[in-house]
Amino acid sequence: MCSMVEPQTPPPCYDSITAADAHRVSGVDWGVRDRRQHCSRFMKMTSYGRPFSKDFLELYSAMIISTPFSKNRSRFRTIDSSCTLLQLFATLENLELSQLNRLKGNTGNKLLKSTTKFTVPKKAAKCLCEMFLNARLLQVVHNPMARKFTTEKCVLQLTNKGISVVARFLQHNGDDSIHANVSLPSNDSAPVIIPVSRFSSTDQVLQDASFPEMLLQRMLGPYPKCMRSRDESLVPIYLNTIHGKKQPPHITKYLLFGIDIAEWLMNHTMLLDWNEVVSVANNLLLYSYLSHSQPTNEPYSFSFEKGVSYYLTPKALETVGWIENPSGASVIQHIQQLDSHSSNKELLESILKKPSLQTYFFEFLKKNFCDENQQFYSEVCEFNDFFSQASQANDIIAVRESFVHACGIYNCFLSPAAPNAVNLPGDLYERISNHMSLAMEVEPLDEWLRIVHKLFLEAQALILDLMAGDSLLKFLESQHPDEQ
Amino acid sequence: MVMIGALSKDGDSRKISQKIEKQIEAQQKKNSKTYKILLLGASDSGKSTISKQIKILNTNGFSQEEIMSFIPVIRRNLLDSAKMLIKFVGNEDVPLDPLNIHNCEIIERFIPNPGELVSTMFGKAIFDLWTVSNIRRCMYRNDSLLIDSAPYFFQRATAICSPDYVPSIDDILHSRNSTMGISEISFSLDHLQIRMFDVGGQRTERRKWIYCFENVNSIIFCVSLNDFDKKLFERNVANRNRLLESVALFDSIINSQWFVESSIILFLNKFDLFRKKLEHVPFTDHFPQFSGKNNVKNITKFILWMFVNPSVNRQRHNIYPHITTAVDTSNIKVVFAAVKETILQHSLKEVGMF
Repeated sequence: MCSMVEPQTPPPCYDSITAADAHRVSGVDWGVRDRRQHCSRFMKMTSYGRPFSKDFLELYSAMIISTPFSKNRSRFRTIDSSCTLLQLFATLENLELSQLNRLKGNTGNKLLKSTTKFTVPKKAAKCLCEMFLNARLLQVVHNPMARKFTTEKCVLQLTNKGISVVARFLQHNGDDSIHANVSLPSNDSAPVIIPVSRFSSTDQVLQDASFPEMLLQRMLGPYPKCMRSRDESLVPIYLNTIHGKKQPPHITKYLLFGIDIAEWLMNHTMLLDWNEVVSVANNLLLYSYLSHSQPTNEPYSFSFEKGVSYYLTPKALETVGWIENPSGASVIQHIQQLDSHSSNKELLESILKKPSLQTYFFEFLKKNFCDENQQFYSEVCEFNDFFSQASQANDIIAVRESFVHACGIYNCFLSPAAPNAVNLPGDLYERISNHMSLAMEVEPLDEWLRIVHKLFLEAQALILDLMAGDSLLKFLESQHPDEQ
Repeated sequence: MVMIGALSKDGDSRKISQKIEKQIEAQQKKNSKTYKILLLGASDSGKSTISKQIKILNTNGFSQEEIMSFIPVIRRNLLDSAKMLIKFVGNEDVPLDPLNIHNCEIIERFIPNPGELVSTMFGKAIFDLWTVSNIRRCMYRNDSLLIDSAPYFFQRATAICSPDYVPSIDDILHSRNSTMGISEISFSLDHLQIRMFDVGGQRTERRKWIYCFENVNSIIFCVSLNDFDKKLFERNVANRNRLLESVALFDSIINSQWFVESSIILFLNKFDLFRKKLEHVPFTDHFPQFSGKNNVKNITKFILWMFVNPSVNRQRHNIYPHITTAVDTSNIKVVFAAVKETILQHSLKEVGMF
């Protein structure tokens, strides 16, 4: 597997310039002329040499929307909306994204222009594309399972996961403010790609006991598909009958191949490299949902090498409900376990902290067209973590970077033309707008940003209230067993 | 090793096949001809209350657990309204006797604890205050900022604040919550499967309405009559009169290409509050162009005309207006019987039988 920690491939660099075009109406002059907020840094790398997921996905989306997708011929077939590896290299060489936003405030209307420039060293480009391929964000048309490029002319397509990442990026930034070269097929019917929570400091996957359980339910479906036609959203299962000499005459076991599990995890969750897939799959063994079909010395290490297969354990069958289980493990029970005495707001907070419940809640919100609230909530959490650290450590560069982050949140959820405007009272909107433009124009940046930070938290609390009062109740109702 | 063909135990497989059949049946039910109704309207016009009523009238209502889940919502409503009311009283220096000044202090200093939200003492304080006529008058001067059900909750404060409180259906109907996004309820009406969509009314929520605009058979548009003296607090339109906002919204909905084929039902809602308010607030203060007799009937007619006049109804829709009080189950029952007639006629017309 390719990695970018080697010395000869420097990591990609991320530049962001936010400039306010002064359409300043006369009057108050804040003493400073055109101000630019500039932030430049190398992307942070995980220990396996992959850029942190946020950068990684942003870079990916920027690359896809800047690449002209068209018809390409591959092995005597014409493939619609595809591109070649060479085209991707060309895009990566000079990748720049511009966004225009209106900032309305005390000091008049301004056009906020943010330009994000990604500098990817030539040597890293191939490596990066290979990572996208391995993360199943892209696939080689004639060999969807490929993990390496055989030729630079090979024809590539977006996977479902890739489409959902780009769609989310576009939704996040507003379709109009960014010019996209690719038209996305709508994949409303496709199942939601399971989100993965990560530690912001190390980018490691956050796992708890219910996470593997949820994956298992997703992987296998609610019924042992006797009539299962090849359903691509589930892992293929084989039946293995062992004829014993004693009673019972034969035992039937469900057999799964390691490679199928690994591919499923990569295609249906937001895991981004094989190391993560293995560490998540290890937990399936650890919580004894799977057992090795062959005797092994390492009972808790998962492998997706050729021919390695696993059995589903009785515990797994109970968990997915294929055999009657007395204890039951539905979503609602998990919620009841949390704490029945807490208020709705606390209940919601603990749901949002649990990776598995969060996924179900998010899916519900998406179905009800109010997922932007949760997105806003989690983005502010992220911003809060980052900014609190930066401002405590008095780290000016990190403060500048968190301003870029704040701009991102502002553009997506809070500006007058925000594509995902959240439901806040008008005066709070005004205050946020005003302080954003002050942070933009008047030193010291960190002072103003501190106020913006406070306002963001205020908005976040209001949104949490809204979700706790409405969506949460409907979610709980929808999870009741008799209504399913 | 074979692909799964059959299952090991007979008992298991029977159960599973029953499960599957049940699922198929449910799917078929869903796919058979359904009638789609949207509940639209500006914020706080009673859309969700109507949908709650329909849940009570047409499905099996609320389960015990659901009823209990409304407790925090109702207490929150009471708490917020009470705090807001005290703020107005403070701002306006309403003259009060010492006992009630003490009550104000109790409410002002009250800090909710997350599990309970309110206390018995708090309930008594707000209930006592609400009997003072000075305070009632103060509320009418400021009611843009209070929720419509505030007086109702003040009246019920003692019960709501008691430790073993169980919400009544009326409490649930009066509870106020911003709806987010779009939610669906389905029920059947004389063999007609109906899917009803309840949406959020604030401006930020309206951009999502488009997701449910396809193949709509009927629209129920809710208007809050009580809004004639209220102002909006949403961005870009701050201080706009809410009733005018409602008219503008109605205009853009009924003249949209999406709904050329749909039947339009107009609910002039919150009639009870409207009638009460007219005793305190003269209508002409807010609509000086109104020149008719100053009685409820004429004013209601005038408001109706604001919605159905040809300069708004440019597509010449048949609009079916109703005057409603959404929190009153018996009223909604009557209105909904009439709406049912409209819906059934419309669905017959669609298949060409009428």
